[in-house]
Amino acid sequence: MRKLLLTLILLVTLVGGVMPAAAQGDEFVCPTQGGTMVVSYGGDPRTLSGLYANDGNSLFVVTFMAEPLVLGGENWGDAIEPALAESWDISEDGLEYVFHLRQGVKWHDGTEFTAADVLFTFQAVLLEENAIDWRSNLMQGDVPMEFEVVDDYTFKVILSQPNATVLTALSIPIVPAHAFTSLNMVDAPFNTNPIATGPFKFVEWNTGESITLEANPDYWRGAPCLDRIVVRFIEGAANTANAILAGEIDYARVDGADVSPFQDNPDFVLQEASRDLMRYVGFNTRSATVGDPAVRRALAVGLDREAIIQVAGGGYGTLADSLFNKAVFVYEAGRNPQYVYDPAAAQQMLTDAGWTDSDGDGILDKDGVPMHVRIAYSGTWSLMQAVAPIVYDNWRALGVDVELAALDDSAVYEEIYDNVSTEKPYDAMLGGWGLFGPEPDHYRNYYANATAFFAYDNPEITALFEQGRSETNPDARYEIYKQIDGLLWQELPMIPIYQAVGAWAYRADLNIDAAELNGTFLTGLKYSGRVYFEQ
Amino acid sequence: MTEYAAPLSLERQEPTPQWKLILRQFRRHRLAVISAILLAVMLVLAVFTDVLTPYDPNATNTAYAGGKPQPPSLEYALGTDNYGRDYLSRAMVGARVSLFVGVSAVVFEILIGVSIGAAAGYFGGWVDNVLMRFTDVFLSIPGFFLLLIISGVFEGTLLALIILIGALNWMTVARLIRAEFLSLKGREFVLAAHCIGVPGWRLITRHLLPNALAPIIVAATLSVPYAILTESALSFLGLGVPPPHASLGKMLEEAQQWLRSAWWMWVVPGVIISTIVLAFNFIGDGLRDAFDPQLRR
Repeated sequence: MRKLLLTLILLVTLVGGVMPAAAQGDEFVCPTQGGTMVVSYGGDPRTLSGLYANDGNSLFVVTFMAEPLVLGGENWGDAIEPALAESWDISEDGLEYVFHLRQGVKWHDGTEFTAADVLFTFQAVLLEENAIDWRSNLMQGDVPMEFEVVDDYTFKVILSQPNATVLTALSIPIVPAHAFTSLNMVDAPFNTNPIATGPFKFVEWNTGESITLEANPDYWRGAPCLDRIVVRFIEGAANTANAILAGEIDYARVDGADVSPFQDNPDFVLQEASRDLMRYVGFNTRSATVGDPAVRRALAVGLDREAIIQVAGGGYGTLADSLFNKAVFVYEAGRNPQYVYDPAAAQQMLTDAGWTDSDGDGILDKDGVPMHVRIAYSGTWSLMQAVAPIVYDNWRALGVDVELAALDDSAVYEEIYDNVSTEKPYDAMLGGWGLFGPEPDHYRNYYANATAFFAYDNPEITALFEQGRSETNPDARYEIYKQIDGLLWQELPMIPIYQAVGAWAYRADLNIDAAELNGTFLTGLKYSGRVYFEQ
Repeated sequence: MTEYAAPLSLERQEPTPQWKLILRQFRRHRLAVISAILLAVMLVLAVFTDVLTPYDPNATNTAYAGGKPQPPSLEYALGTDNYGRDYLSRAMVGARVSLFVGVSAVVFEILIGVSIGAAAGYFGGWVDNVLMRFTDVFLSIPGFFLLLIISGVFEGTLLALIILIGALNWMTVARLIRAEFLSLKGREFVLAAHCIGVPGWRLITRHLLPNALAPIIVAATLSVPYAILTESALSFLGLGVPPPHASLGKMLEEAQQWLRSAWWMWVVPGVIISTIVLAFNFIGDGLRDAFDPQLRR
C-alpha cells in the first residue's frame, strides 16, 4: 500500500514537473485526522524566531512553524519552490523581481498576511543592530537591495546589478509586522512566543522539557492531519533510539545509535535520506608543505575515506566526489573522477611532486623541509575525534609527520572559525558544514576568500564565482559552476570526505510518505502538515 | 621443637647488615613480593615497549575492524578497538605512560616535599612557621580541579602533567619529614654531631636524612598509585597525552560507548590500572612493615 502511494506521488511529481510547482500537492487530503506526534531533538532552542534560528535545536522547531517567500535557501530546503510567494516575474535586465504573494494567508493570530510584513521583515534583517545572519543575503557589496510594496499582494525587489542568487537569498522566514513594536528585535517577546504562517503554531515551551505545537487549521496548503506535535528534548542518539523503542516518542533521527532494533521490526520503520552536511579535511593552501595542489591530490589518494565513513560515520555517509554538497544544483554524481584510495599511487604522486625521504629519517622532505602537517580540529566534537586517528595513520604511512592538534572550544574559534587572518596556524583542519541549499554562490565565502579556512583565493576560480553570481541565464550559470566544480576538484583546497546520511526511525502506523523525508531540513520533513497516523 | 645449644664461635660475629634485615622482613609479606615481581616485569615491558609491541599501536586496520571493536583472536591477543588498532600494543604503551608519569611525578613530589619538610624541621622557628603555613595553603586547594584547569591551559603535555601532579601532592611528604626531623633533632647522635661542629647541610644530608629515609620510601611508594590514578582520570577527561597516542585513561574513555558490546575495551585498561595501583599499595605496605623495627623478629 505504502509502495503504491509512493509510486503515485513519484508519478505526480514527474508529470507535474513541467508545470509551475505551485500546483503540486495543494489538494492533499488527509486519510485520517487527529493525533499527537511526539518527536525529539537535542535540547532547548536558543530562539523561536526564524530570523535568529541558526542552530540545530532552534531550526528544528522553527521549521514546523515559519515560512519564507520561496523555499530553497540556506536551511530552507534543497529545491526552489514557491511558499508565501505564489509566483514571481523577473524583468528583462534581471534587476527587478516582482513577487505575487499568496492571498488569504492568515497569521496564527488570525491577521492577514500582506506585503507589509515582507517589507518589515527585510527591513529588520537589514538593521545592523539586530545582528541577524541573513543580512549579508540582502546586501550587494555595501548597498542593500531595494524593496517596494506595490500593493497588499505584490512585492518588488530592485537590484543594482544582476544577481542570480536572489531567490535563495530571499529565502528568509517572514515575521508579522504587527507582532513587533519596532524594527529592533534583539529582545522582542516574539523570540520566545512566535507567530507565523506555517502548518503548526506555537502553544507552550517547558524549558528543558518540551515544546508543544498545535495544528493551524487555516494553513494555506490545507489543515495538517495531526492535531499536535510535541518536541521533547533528548540528548544523544542512543537515548533517542531507546525512547522510540519504549514508545515514548514516535519519530526521530537515530543515526549514530545502534539501529539494529529497528531493522526487520514490524512495529517501526527505518528510513534513510541524504543530509546536506559535508565532512572534510581542509588545507591551509599557503602552507609550506600542503600548499602545492599536487601534494593535496596525493594526500587525497592516500586517505581511506571509505574507512572514515565506516568508523567515524557509522556507515552513514556517501563518498564525496565534489567540493559542492549534493544539494547544489550543479552537482552531478560521477562527473568528477574519484580519488580512489591507493597508498602506493599516493606515494608515487608525492615523489613526483618532489617529496622524498632523502635523509632516511622516515619522514618525507623537499629542499631540506620535512613534511610536517599539523592538523587542527575540535577536540570536543566527537565526530572529529573519530576522524583524526585515521587521517593520522593514513598519512603517516606515506611518510608524513602528522601532528594532531585537538583544540578546546576557545582555541578552535581562535585558530579556525574566527580566524580571518590569511596566515593560518595549521596545515590542515578537520571540519563539517552544510545546510547551504541549492545555491553554489554560498561556497564563494570559502573557495574564493583568502581569509576563510583554506586561505584560498585562486584568481581563476574567484573570477568564475563573480561571473556566476551575475549571470542570469540558467544554462550559462550551470556551465560556469560546472567549470568551478571541475577546477576545485583538481585544486583540492579541501578533501571532501563524505556527505552525511541520516537515519530516521518512527512508529509503523505513522505515515510520513506524503510529508517527504528531506534531509536538508533539520526536521527531516518537508511538509509536516501531511504526516498522519494510519489508524 | 628440638632443643639444641647455640653454636659457639670464638670468631667475631659480623652484625647482619640493616638492608638484609629489611629485605628479610619484606620477604615475609607475600603479597608485597608478588607485587614487586609483577611490577618488575611491567617495568621491563615498559622499557622495551617499542621492541615488544606486536603491532604499531597507532596503525589502523579498518578493513579488519569494520567500524566495531573486534574481540581477542589469534591475530590480536587482546582484540582491537573500532579502528582495528591492536589493543595489546595500545595497552602496553598506555601502561608505560602511566608508570612513567606516576613514578616521575612522585620523584618530583618527593624532591619538593623533602626540601620543604627538611628545612622546616631543621631550622624551626619562623622558617618552620612560614613553610608550614605555605604547606597549609597548598593543602587547602582542591587539587584535582586545579589540575583540570591548569592542564587545560597547558594543553596537557606529559611533562606539564608530571610537574603538576607533583606540585600538588608534596604536602604530606613535607609534613612527614618535618615531624621526623623534629624527633631526630633531639636524639643523642645528632646532638653529638652538632657539638663537634658538623655544619648544618652536612648534618641534614649525612645524619638526619638517612635516618628519615624509611618514611620517605614508604610515602613515595604509596603516592605512586595516586599519581597514576590522577593521570588516568585526566586522560579520561581528554587531557594528558595528545591523540592518537594511547594512555590507559584514554582507552577507558573510548571504551565508554562500547560498554555493552565489547568487554575487552574496558576490561584491559581497567585491569592494568587496578593491578599497578594495587601492586604499589602492597609494596608500600610491605616496606612499611619491613622498616618497622618493632615488627622485626
